[in-house]
Amino acid sequence: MHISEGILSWQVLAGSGAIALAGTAVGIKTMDPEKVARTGILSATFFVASLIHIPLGPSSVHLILNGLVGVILGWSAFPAIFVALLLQAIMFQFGGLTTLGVNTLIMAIPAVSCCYVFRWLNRSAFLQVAAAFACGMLAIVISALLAAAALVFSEKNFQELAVMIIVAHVPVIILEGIVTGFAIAFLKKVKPALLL
Amino acid sequence: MNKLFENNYLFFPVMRKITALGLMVAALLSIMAAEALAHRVVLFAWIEGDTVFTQSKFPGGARVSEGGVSVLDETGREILSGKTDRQGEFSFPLTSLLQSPSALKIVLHAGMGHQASWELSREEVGQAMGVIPEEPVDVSPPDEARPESIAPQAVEGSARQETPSIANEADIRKIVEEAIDRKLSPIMDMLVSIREEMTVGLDDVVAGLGYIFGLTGLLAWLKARGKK
Repeated sequence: MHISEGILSWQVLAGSGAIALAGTAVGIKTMDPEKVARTGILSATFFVASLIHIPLGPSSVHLILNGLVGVILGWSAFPAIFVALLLQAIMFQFGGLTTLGVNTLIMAIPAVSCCYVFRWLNRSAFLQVAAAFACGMLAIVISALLAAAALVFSEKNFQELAVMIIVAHVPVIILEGIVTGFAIAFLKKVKPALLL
Repeated sequence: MNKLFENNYLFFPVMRKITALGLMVAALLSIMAAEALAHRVVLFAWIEGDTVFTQSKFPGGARVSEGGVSVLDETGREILSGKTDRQGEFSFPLTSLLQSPSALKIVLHAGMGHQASWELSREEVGQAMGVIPEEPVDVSPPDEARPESIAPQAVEGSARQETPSIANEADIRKIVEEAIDRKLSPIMDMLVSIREEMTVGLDDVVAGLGYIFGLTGLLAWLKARGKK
């Protein structure tokens, strides 16, 4: 869901860039000094996750992990994702510099939303893992909806586009749910402090 | 060893689990295709004779079928649009499309925010249309360079009619190689750029991780300083 350069109008790019910067600033400002290290580690995880390709039929899919990033980081997901996307754009030419803002929003808004969903559902040990599973899936669905919304000006029909993107991502949605669920279950056992 | 990792913020065992799990799930879901998930698409175009051929791919080799293609001229005006076939190919003739040579920009719209383009220079297009002369191959007559090698052959050739009176094998080889080199050079350029486009180097990954950890350190330092 990296949107390429040269598709969106400058109004969309500038608007989303401003919002992404604001979100990143909030994320950095509210970041606990103790949480700086984990933000960096999850940023690195997100940066590398999209390089893990899993062959699927004639093509391959890759992990996104914005749900996992959001559940652990909350608002700090914004700077983590912003930096990772910036480096992906520079190093791998995924997406692009002009679309950095819109791509950050597509990935980070679901991450932050997932954090709230996770905290709300976080009541019992079982619910916690179930919530992580749900967040992993939900993050991709919201990302797909946001991508469709961003593209609606250039590709018209929102509903059709949203359905198309979500359908294409069904394998990733399932995969992310499982990965996020297992990751949170594991962290809960090994490092419960990470989840607070 | 495991103990060490478990008490660490870096959760390597998780990554191992994730990978194993991912492969399992991938096997389960292998019926579903998801081309649109690629990070980007790559379009490349080349000219053969009078025809421009284009091919569109996702990294990993999947073809872009039914992708929209538009061809823009130097002024940015769209002069042709079409769709790729199932092999991700799209081709069009040059001479019926253009009156005079122009640089062409071919843009692929692969949907869901994926776009790629390839430019053909005015010289390439002009040469293919026969308007701009191709740079001449150096076919200086070999007998000028080495008259002594050619002389006996020519004599022999006129004596026996069935042997054509041309240069020796080495010279033919040289001419053919030059011609092939000239024809192949755009293709070689293309291969290089495809390689560059399609691969993500390990050094890029390591560099990226280095930046992230560096920025983290910087932020941690700034935060720690702010606290005092």
